Amino acid sequence: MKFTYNWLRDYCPELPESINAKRAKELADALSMRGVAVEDFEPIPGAIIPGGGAASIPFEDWLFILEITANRPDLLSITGVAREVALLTGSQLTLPQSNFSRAKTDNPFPVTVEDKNLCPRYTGQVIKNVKVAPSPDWLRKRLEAIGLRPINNIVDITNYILYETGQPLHAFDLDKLIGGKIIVRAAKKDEKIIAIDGKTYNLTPDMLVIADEKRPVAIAGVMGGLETEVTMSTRNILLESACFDLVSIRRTSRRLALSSDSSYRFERGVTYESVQTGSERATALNAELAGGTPTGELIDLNYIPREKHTVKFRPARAKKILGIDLPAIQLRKILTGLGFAIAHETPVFYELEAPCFRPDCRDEIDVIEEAARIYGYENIPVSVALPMAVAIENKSDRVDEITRSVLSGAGYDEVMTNSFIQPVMQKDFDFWSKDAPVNALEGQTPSDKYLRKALSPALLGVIKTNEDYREAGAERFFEIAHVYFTGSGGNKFSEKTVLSICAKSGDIFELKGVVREIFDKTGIAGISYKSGIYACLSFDETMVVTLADGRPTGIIGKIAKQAADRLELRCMPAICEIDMELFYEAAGLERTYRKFSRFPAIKRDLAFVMDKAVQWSEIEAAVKAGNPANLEELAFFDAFEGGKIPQGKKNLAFSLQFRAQDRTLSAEEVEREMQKLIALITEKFGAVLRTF
Amino acid sequence: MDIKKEIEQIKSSAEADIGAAKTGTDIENLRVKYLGKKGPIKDVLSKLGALPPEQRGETGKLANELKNSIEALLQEKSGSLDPAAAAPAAPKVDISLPGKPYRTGFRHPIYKTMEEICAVFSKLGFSIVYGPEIETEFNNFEALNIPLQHPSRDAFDTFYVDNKNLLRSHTSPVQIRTMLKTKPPVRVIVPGKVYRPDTPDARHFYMFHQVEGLMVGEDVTFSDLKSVLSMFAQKMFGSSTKTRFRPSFFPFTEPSAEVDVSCIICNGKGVLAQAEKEKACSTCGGSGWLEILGSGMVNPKVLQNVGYDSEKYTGFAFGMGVERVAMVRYQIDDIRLFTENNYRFLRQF
Repeated sequence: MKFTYNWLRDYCPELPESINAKRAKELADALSMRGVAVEDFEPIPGAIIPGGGAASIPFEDWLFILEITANRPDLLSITGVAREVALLTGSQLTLPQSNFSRAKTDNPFPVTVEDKNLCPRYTGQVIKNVKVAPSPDWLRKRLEAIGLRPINNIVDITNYILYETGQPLHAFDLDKLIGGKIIVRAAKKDEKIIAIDGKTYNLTPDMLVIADEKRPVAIAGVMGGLETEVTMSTRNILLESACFDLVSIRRTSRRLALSSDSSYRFERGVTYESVQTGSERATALNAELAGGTPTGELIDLNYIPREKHTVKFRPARAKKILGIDLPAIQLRKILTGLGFAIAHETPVFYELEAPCFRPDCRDEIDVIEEAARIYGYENIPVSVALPMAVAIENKSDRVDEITRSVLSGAGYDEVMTNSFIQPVMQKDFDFWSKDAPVNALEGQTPSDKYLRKALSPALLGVIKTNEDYREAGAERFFEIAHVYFTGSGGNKFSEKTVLSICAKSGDIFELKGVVREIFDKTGIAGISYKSGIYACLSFDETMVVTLADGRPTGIIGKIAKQAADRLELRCMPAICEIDMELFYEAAGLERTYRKFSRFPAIKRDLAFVMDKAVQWSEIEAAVKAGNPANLEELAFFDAFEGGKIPQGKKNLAFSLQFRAQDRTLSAEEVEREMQKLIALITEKFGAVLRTF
Repeated sequence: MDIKKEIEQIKSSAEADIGAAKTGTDIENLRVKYLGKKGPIKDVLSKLGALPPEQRGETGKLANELKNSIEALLQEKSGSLDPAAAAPAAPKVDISLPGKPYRTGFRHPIYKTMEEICAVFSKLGFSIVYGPEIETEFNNFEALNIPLQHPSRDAFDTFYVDNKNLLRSHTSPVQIRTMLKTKPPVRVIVPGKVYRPDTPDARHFYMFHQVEGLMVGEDVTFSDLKSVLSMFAQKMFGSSTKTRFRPSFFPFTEPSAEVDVSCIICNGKGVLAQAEKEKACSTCGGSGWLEILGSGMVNPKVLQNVGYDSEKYTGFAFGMGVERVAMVRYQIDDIRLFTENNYRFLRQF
């Protein structure tokens, strides 16, 4: 919505004749602080007061650009804005009058409205013998200033009155209406119309049209038709002023991708009352500027005068909402200034009649808002005492925090990836679901992307992005975010929080190590790793992270060649994806101190040559089963093949730490346990002890 | 010469030398001179063997005392020298070599900012709650008093996943979820991802983050709203930050307010002082204010929709865009940088 200062002054004549930049800013700020948001204001070029030279000379006129909220259709007119300005500045509001006389006629123009719900009021005014010509300068200038292109006096008047009153109007060339009649009806199947923008629109039966005997002549409330528009040869016009159902107009406008000043206002609500005011103002201007003769009474269909809407307003309720008492005198002034009539008054409430142009003021809360708005939010003090409350800390937030700090500490960079992904990128990443991914409705999804059903492909995308830039430092990433599924359980859609970690090195043990650290720090014990098969991961290097109770909670693996190729990666990263929801459940964040031994430890290393197929976990289990006395810690430290190690064998080395709770162990005691262990492993695995 | 005399002489000469020492190098030289392998004390000790056995003990003791006393003198002198002068001419280690590489990870500016916002509200007693990103149309719109086919929906263009479910266009549906399962008082903060089908450009992206707040109780007023958000702004943007509440419209709050904070770049002056002339601040566009939050008193219709007694309970709600806060704070000029994850961007946080 736009208005110019000079035009506004027509309705607020007490305002100064012109304002300088400082005053213009003051007006803009005052409006903004009262909810009439001024997006911008600028001087209108070529409107400098004669005699002005330097930059400080006031401009004659200013353009104000407003951002009107959806609840205020009344502000989509300059008179509506003037009402606010008058209230804010304490000046007089002067609404324009319509003075004209009508010629009598015995043949009123026939209008039929077929759907009264979609068109609650329709008026037409026949104006004969108009002289179509360019508009006078002042009118052209005003329209140009708010960004409208002057066409001719008849069309310009409809636009001018639309901005003045907020009432959309349309002028038909009366003589081009076939059959000499107007029917407001639903469009017929396969009907088309060429609108005044020159484009052809295909209409459907849920759209409302204004038709003559043969064809639609306007898309109701949206745009008129080209064939019946006013041209230089037009002699007689039918001036339409109506009120349409806002939902219907909105739907039609969206369906046709056609928005106009008219549809914009109808969608937000045009009042029954402005239908008549607008028509009369335009008729008067037509008589004045185009010399037309208003002929016959206003054709007025379906006008059902609405009952006054009353709202009960309790100042005590306003205090409960706002936190302060609004002074009674000021309150009355605000309410009446806004156009409310006080129908009844008691010590505890007012019964207010809402003005017709404020359809948004239906309930008490609407009036409280209006009172607060005009009173000024800045005049409502900041409360001094807020009741204290303890914020509940979520276990999941703690686990996330620990996870992030472990990963950050280990040198992994946090990323934030797009929830949408191209299907090819997540092909085979079926960690959580084999169902089709969630798709935003057709035609809506950005660049044909689906919601991700795994997070890792997005992180691999980050590796790819940085590979393209040859970024050497970009090697380790993580993110905690949602993944989305269709058809899971009873719900049609589901989602969960997962953690994905990605290492360019391709080393799954790097990820296993950092994950282990996260488990330790979040108090999750008893994790085991099992083999698994996923098409996106290398079979040899895949492990399923399994909770103590046997539930799989995640996957660690190295990307398979095929998947890396699909993602156009030059490397084969390792990824980890963890179901955080299981993780939150399993985490144990409480700690209990355990007494520790004050005696020194004895550390021993062992290395064996054994069959390649023997797994570390078997050795670990065997050692533990042997239950060596005072064994405190058993740790793997090396495995290798080749070199001096025979084919099919490997060298496996590990360390053992012994400690007693109550005394310093002797070397002999430990040696006895070591010999037992060496015998055990030699026998059980056919291993040969290596000597250093 | 008598060994005892010799010891006396060494002592007095050492005392004189040490007394005259001026630099750390002098001290080191004297240490070598008196205590070194070729020094006089070593010499004295080597002569002990030639002494009669009954004298050896006493003389040895004297020699050791001399050694200790010279050491103590050197130590004392060294401590009393000006530290700069006391240092040897140059360290033997090339300390200009870089430290060993310890690289901790970078935090993403959006997640970091979101956490910071939540932390501020946590301290004010707001508990963090979450909700799904795939929402019902009811929770996202109807329950929040945003009717179908109403122009107020224009601001909330939406990705639908079927005819009843959608990607939430704001975090406000979590208000509904929270109130449906909790009795007042309620004091929650809701961080999360939201989606709106915008064509990506420097200022728009179809996925972004919001933090939503809700406080409902028996006596929660607009005054409290102003109080909480002013405290937030001061904590988040600096203690001199001012806040401004402008009337606005949101279907789910009434009265509603846009909340501006004084520009953190120009301190609300609207201009940046330049060497020669003053230039409009590009962060706030010269207005001195930054639009950061939408807020208001929870519309009684919303309270009724979740079965609260709207006569008894009142409340406020607010919401802010995390990208907006981060962009202002870090002076980031393109929202698409956040999802690009370019290392040269990530490493700056």
